[in-house]
Amino acid sequence: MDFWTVRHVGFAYPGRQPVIRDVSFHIAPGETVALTGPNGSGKTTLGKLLLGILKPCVGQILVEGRDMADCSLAEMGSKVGYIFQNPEKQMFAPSVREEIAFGLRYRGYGDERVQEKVDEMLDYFELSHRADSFPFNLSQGEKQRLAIAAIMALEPRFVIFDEPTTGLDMRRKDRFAQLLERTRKRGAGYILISHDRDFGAACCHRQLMMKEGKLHCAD
Amino acid sequence: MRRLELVKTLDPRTKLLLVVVISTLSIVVTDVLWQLGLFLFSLGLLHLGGIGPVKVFSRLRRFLVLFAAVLAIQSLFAPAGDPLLTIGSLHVITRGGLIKGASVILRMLTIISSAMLLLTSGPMRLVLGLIHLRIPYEIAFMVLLAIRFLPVLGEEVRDALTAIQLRGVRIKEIPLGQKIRVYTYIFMPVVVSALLKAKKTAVAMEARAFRAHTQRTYLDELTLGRKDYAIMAATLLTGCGLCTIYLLGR
Ligand SMILES: Nc1ncnc2c1ncn2[C@@H]1O[C@H](COP(=O)(O)OP(=O)(O)O)[C@@H](O)[C@H]1O
Ligand SMILES: [Mg+2]
Repeated sequence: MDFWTVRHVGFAYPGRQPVIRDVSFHIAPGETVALTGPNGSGKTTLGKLLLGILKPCVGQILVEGRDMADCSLAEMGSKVGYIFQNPEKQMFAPSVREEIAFGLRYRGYGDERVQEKVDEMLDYFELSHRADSFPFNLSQGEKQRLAIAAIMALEPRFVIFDEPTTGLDMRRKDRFAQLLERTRKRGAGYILISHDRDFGAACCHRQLMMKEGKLHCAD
Repeated sequence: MRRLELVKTLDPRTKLLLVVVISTLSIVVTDVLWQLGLFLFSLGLLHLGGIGPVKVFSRLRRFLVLFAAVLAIQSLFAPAGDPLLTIGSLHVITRGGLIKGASVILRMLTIISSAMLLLTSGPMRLVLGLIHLRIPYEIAFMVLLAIRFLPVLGEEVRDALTAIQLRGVRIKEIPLGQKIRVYTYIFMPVVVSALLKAKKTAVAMEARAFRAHTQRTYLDELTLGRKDYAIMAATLLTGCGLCTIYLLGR
């Protein structure tokens, strides 16, 4: 069964021209997809539609065969991780450690397992030295790593990254490619939203190209 | 269309006077019918200014819970007149209590909707109006910033709520006690990011030489036209007149 089935979806922000027009596609479980296209073509909007942060104006999105209109954000969040384009948007905890631990606690993990997982994440994302800092005081790169760490700690079956490589230097970009590979090996899929077509092509099975709210597939 | 222009082109100071007089009147009068009249009058003014009743009510919607609470508290703690609903020996709803509650709500409605009149001038003209009333530019500018940043704060809250739900919090299903905890949780980042934004704005302002010179000139100049003087005079006269009639009539 498809993980996502998108059928003739259209979307417009209230009082604006449509930004997504009649888009249809399927994504299988564990698939890795690059969603590319110029600025303003509707990539971020499509990503938010796939998570249920925005609701389609027309058409239908199914997730594992279920209509997403019946899924709560919390339910979607337990299946799919979403890394916002602006990492500040998803931080709300008073410390780096707490930020990573938050979702784990809500999963009902015991204190010990939470600690263990948090330490593992801090180590992997090179944030150990900032573990007790206030998230808003981190540098841009550190914020981005924290946002990714907080989501990856939950081991979602799918991850949507919105422009994850902007602002990364070469070494960090390589590290990020390694993370993607690790995710793939774990059996999880991801959607990489990026205007960097080369990076997308290198890290993904499949490319979807957006242009002015329409999808042009390039396999 | 011409009527719409009339209210829009009024000097912000004239509008300010209108707002002050209407609000004062709504506090002076305690009779429900008078208050209803005042509320309808301010709705009419807003309509002339291009904000129709539908728009006004959609903005007032967010105060609904507050109004309901006021109504409940008034009729419970200030009972008067015939009881309409009694539980045991307690008069839960009384006619007098309801009327009092309604009059408090009408008063709030009048004050809020008359203040909306200020929204019909652009924010910059409003600041200019305040400056001409000898309010220091810094303070007037702060008012402008507050107006500008309010929607940003709302967006910030929405984003934090989305993020926290995606992290597994079922906000619609959890009990009230926990819900309050979730809200306190997101309160901090929302305030912090607003403060950080304010700090950035401050730097941007200084970079553009805010307050570097004591003398300022303005692109738009405000002058009180004949229309403004006429309306101001009429407002003051009507206001005082209504006040006298009301107080004598009691
Ligand atoms: N919150 C919003 N309200 C109104 N319009 C928006 C909003 N977010 C994005 N848009 C508009 O939708 C279009 C697509 O935006 P977006 O999905 O962010 O594109 P991309 O991520 O491909 O750069 C743009 O024209 C943008 O101006
Ligand atoms: Mg985008």
